[in-house]
Amino acid sequence: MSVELFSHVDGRSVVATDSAETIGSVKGFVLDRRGCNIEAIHIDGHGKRAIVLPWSAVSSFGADAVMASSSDDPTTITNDHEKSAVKGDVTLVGTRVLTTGGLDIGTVDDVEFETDSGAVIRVVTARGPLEPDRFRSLGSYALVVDPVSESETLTPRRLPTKG
Amino acid sequence: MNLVRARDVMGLPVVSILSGEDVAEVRDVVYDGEAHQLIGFTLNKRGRFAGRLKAVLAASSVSAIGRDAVMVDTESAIDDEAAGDADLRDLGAARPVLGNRVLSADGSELGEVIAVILSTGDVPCAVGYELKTDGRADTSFVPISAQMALSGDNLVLPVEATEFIRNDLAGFGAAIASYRSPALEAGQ
Repeated sequence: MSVELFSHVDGRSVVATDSAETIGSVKGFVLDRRGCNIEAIHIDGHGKRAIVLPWSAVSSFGADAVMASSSDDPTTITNDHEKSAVKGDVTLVGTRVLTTGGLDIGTVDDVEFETDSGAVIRVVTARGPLEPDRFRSLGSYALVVDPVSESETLTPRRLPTKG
Repeated sequence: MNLVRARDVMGLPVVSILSGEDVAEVRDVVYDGEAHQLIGFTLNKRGRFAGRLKAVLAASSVSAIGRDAVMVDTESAIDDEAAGDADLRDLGAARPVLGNRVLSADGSELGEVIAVILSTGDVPCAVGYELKTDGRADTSFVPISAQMALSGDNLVLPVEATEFIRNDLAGFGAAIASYRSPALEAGQ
């Protein structure tokens, strides 16, 4: 099993195994609604004309190139979920992490994923790593996670004395 | 018990745990001063030039109030139907709490109400009032009790409640945990 970081694979070329053509490069990822698995790789284009490669069509996520089974595999985006991902509205990196208790515990700096399965192994935040078993949802506003420690569960007792 | 001033909730985003989307923003806290009960929240749309939402959020539909967001399970917690709810709509006639003079039942003046204090548990509710006393820099907190009387000018506190007054919110949280359980159950 091999593990990579989103920041390390950014820009990696995507090559079709059948034609040997370069069909794009890694621009971003479409994740599932919990933020636990990669569903597709954004490889070319913008907005409505963005091209994505479904994860099922990745034959090998290699150290130097991402190999697609066929040059026919990439598709233009078909739904709002993919659209919000390629537009950058719903992405893991840069998204705030919010506990179900309503506490902001930082921002996702990077994502570790498993190159065989496309499963997210953990996300890196300034406060330390978070594992996907805590993830509840990934939306445009936040990655919502279950709190683990008391400091994440509770709002601070000592309130600011403003106003 | 974790406590927050009601006005600190205003402006917080309302976030769905199911989708991770910010579905609204707290516009105002709807509070029934007569019953000393938190009813819910009126809402604004999210975004820079967004206006008021017709839909409202009932206190019972809140999953948690945190420092940074009000959490709801799903977007359906924000309810257009509840907008027709008389409790949430028609508080124009409700007696104001803020600004009331607080007297203890034995006639001593304790201060003026400057804030409603909410607990942030599963179903958030109002648990106390913050008071400002003339000539004192700090504020104090009194627990809400079923025996309180409110006129719109004066809030009269039962004498036994005055022993739970605290000058800091942390101590107040602990004090009402011990005060509320017997007093409120007897009163309701």
